[in-house]
Amino acid sequence: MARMKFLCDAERCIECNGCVTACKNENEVPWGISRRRVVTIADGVIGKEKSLSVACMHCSDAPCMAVCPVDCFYRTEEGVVLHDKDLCIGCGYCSYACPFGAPQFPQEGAFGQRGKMDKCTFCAGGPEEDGSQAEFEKYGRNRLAEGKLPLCAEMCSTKALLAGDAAEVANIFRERVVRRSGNGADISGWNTAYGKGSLEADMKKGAESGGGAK
Amino acid sequence: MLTRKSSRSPGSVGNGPSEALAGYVAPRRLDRRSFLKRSGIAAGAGAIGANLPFAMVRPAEAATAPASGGGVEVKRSVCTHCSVGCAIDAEVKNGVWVGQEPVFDSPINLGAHCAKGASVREHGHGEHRLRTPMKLVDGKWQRISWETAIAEVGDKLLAIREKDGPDATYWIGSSKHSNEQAYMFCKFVRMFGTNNTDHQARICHSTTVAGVANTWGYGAMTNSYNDMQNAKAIFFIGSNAAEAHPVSMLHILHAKEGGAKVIVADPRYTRTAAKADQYVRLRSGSDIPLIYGVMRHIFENGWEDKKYIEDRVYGMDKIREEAMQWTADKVLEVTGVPDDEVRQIAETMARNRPSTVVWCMGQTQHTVGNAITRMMCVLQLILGNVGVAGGGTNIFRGHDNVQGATDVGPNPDSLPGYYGIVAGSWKHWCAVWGVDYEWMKGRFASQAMMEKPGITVSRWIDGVLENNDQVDQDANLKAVVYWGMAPNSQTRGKDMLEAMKALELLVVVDPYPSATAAMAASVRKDGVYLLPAATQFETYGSCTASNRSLQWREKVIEPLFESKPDHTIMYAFARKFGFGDEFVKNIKLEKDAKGWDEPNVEDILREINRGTWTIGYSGQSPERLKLHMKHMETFNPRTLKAEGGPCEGEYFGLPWPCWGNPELKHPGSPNLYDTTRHVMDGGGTFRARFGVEKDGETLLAGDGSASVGSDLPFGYPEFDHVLMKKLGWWDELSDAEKAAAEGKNWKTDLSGGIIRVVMKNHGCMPFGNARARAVVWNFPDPVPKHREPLFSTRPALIDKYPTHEDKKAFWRLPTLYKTVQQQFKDVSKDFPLIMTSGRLVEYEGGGEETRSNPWLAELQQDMFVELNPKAAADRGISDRDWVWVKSPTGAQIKVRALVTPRVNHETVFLPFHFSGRWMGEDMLNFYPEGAAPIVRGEAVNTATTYGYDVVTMMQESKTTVCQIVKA
Amino acid sequence: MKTLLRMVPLLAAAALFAGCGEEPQVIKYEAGKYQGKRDTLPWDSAAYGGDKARWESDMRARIGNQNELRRMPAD
Repeated sequence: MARMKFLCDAERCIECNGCVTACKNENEVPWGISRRRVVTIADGVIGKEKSLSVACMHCSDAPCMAVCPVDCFYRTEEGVVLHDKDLCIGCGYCSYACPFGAPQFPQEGAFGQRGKMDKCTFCAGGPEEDGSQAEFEKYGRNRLAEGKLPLCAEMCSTKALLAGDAAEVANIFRERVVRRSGNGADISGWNTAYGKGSLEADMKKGAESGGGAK
Repeated sequence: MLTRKSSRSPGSVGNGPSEALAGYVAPRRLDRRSFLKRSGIAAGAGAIGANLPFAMVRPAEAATAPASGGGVEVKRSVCTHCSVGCAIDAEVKNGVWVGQEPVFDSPINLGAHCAKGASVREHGHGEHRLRTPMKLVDGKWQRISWETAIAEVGDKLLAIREKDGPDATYWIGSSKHSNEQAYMFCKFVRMFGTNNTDHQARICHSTTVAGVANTWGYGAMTNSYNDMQNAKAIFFIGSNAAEAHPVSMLHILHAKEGGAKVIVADPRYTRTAAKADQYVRLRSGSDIPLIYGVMRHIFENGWEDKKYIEDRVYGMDKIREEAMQWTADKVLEVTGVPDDEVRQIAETMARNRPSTVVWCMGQTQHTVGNAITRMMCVLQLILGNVGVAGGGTNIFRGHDNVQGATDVGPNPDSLPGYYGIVAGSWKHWCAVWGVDYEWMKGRFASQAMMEKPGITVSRWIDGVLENNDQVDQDANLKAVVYWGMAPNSQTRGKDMLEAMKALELLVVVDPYPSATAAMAASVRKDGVYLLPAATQFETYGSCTASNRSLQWREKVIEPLFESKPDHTIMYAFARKFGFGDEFVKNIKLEKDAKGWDEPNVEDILREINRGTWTIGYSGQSPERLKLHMKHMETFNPRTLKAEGGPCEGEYFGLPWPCWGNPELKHPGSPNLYDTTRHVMDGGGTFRARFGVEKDGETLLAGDGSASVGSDLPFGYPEFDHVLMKKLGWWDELSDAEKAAAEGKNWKTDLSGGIIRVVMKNHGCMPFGNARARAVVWNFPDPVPKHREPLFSTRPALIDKYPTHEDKKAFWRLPTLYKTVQQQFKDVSKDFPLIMTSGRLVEYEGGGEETRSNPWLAELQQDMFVELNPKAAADRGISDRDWVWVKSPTGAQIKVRALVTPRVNHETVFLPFHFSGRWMGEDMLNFYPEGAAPIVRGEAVNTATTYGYDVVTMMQESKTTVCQIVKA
Repeated sequence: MKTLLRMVPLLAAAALFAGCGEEPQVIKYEAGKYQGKRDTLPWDSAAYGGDKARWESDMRARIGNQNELRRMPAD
């Protein structure tokens, strides 16, 4: 079994925030913590706007795990990075270390005292008995133990966000890419090699000689 | 916490190589952790740490139990937000909604959801709901019992009815009611004795329905979201599907990745435009010239489908004349779009057929909305795209059941099924309802009032405030009931506040108090009642998605707190008003969990089936619909057809028209007007609604043009008993059918026999086989013409393309056009910015429901105005500054500035979902305690202006003007 | 001067031994040093009862739902 992975297809993400609220829903994540967020680049700029859904990347060599002073992190056999909230001291070091902003802290009180770190668990719960009330309260749902995949990906409005075994995710994405590139999308790098617009021009010439308008 | 570790035994735990289970090693060296501990800091940290909450969950009284394990029931429902109709599996344990799973089997959404659909489980929490009936007493909300509420509200309404007549009341129904509830509401209001009723469709797609229906017969989406996979080019104009109908993008992007070209025309660079191959920025309200420009290119290049036009269209020559006049320079002047972009649209649509068009509020919400929508229809007729898979006019409707509510619900000018309010239709429905026509007539002030279309929801405020001698009914409106609609989606909020002040009685029936409660409490001390209704997850029934498919919702949980389903409340009032028996004549009553009488929902649907022949709501029985919901996986998402299983051969949701009675087993019509299919397989023709000839030209289809397998391979009129007899088909009816059909036509034959014989035996369409009309002679502009909006920033164009003449009595009210436009001709001097509004993906409609959901509210916490960097710099405004948006009406709203290049320097955009703040002040104190939405903001409609479509009274919310200054 | 010279070994010793009683402050990440509670494997749940192969197979099947090409094949 390969490792669990997320992949967000930026060509499909429409910033609908379905993944964000699906996660909130399934894990009863409180106000102030967004385990998953959608990031938009070049917001409003014609031809350039792209969105991407980001949560914990469940790194192989997780910086959060490396810097934690109380070693509350572990990685499961499927590559999911989880942590033990009972051990967490809320120091925030993992939050500094993570390049994706995955570890987050609830705001407790007026002095900004940090609560226990909370982050995406790949819907794999945490170190409590699977499906127990304790696990749900601390870490959210354990969907993997039920044979299901993270709800964010399962509910994505355009199937932009994929989650599951990396080999399967790659298969799905590859199938999609192959279908796209056969229709003009510059996956193969044609435009990069032969100049902007050359792929479209060639395809148009082909269509006019072979296909043609109705 | 830190000490606990040392009590564990060291060594490896577990068998596998898993690092997670590797042993705990008690520290023997002084590492960082132990150092901290010894230095005493750790003790402090530990102490704090031990008290740190796990920061997860609310107290366990609400739904917190894990969903797995025994005792979990799964109820299948449909999202309550937009018209895509995403299915939902709700997991319920001990009556508590504990989990939500995607329905991968659904052919419509394949398990996908947007932010709203993914968070519907919050309806089971309902922390900000209206919990009990309430009454405004001396400016404070007081709790009252249901019995008191029904009695007091009932008495007050009866008193007004007695004194001022039933037309002094206004009943605003809902596009979020189920079909059965919407249908009963229509019946309820009519039995009360008035046509003064309406719902969200008025301000949504009323111009679409009018424009499209008058072109070819029905005003609904012709194909479906799924069918768009078959399109080779998709043209969005005035539609932001990525935010308003996100899951539709699943089908659209799937099509795009298969090679389809996507064009988006919008004044604003939306998230949908971000996925387009071509983005066209046009001035808000200039759609008609743009499309004429496209048409001109098509005609000039000979790209039109000549045979199609010859066989199936009337009046194209006049359109052609008009199109040729819209030369490149004229189009550029009015729309701001250069000719090469216009040509590119035309070429893409023409060279990549079948091509389809999508429009939403961007096109409908204008004074010329009826003409704009017709332009899209005519464009598709020119290209021969109507009645073709991958083509059609794909109109994305708004709310989850706006389609159903429009079809069978409370419209001021029609009875269920779009039967008009003329005597023949009344008699038809009285027969179905099981009541005497004379009794029904007696409920109204007079027969004249019974047959006069009511006031529209967009103008109820003028029904209150206008001079009585100008109002085309006896008294002004004295009482308004907001039954499932929000007030902040209608324009002229400032005037609405005045109207609320002037009413004798205001009643809100809603799961949330809604902005109505807050607005009313800010200007009144009494005379307002709030009655808690249950959401669609606390009841059951059918709803119609935009593609005309009907889906059945199961009840997920019992109504929360003291709320009740709308039809239960209706029956209680019907009893109070003295027509309880008539209301449910053929519908049995059941006791609900609280002992109240609830009309049986399946019976209501059966009654709809028995009477709604016009649009084919006759075949979708509860049994057939439930079977579809149970076997969703058997339906092919590309064709919507079940290719095996118990529903084999049927189209998902039996999209209307599903002809004949349920026994005929018509499979539904996935794509309208499709002559390549047999009528018993969902095929169809254009409807013969407008006569058989006009000015010497035939209105029936050309010879040889008919649906596959038609016994009449040419144009024919609609069927009635006379035509049946003439053709010799009369004797194919059974005796019982003959008895019912004698003297009737296909719409009023309660046996369905005419439909059965015509379709099954002869492969013909009951409504005839005619041409679509490119020229609609009964409209103010038979050939669509561009007219500037009432509040336009271009005085020179107002001179060239002025608006309509004023109307004296239009839907019972005087309606101004020219006067307003002339009065505000130079408004751009002081108000130079075009103000438009639209949707956000996180919220829906008036927004009180979605802004009360913390998971959604967190994502959009501030009301804002999108301002171009140049427009901002010219005004000294930086991103996130507070600004005042000022309207020529004198209203002004305080919002945050969002500086972005999405809009150009002459246009600004505001979302319309906010309410709860009024001209700078928070209205929190005016809500009942605990029932205000989490996020409150200014309503853009507080600052919008007068302007109504000349056919349907649609509000002109997409194009008004404003000025923005730093606050 | 002599006092200073006598001080040097002392100071040196102090400097040298200052590090004693402390481990290096740089955290060396070593796999398997997790100090928290043990977690159960997903296939050790009530639904799977330890059947890893069935769980893996279910995972592969389940992800098919995220691929719309399965039900809407490309032409």
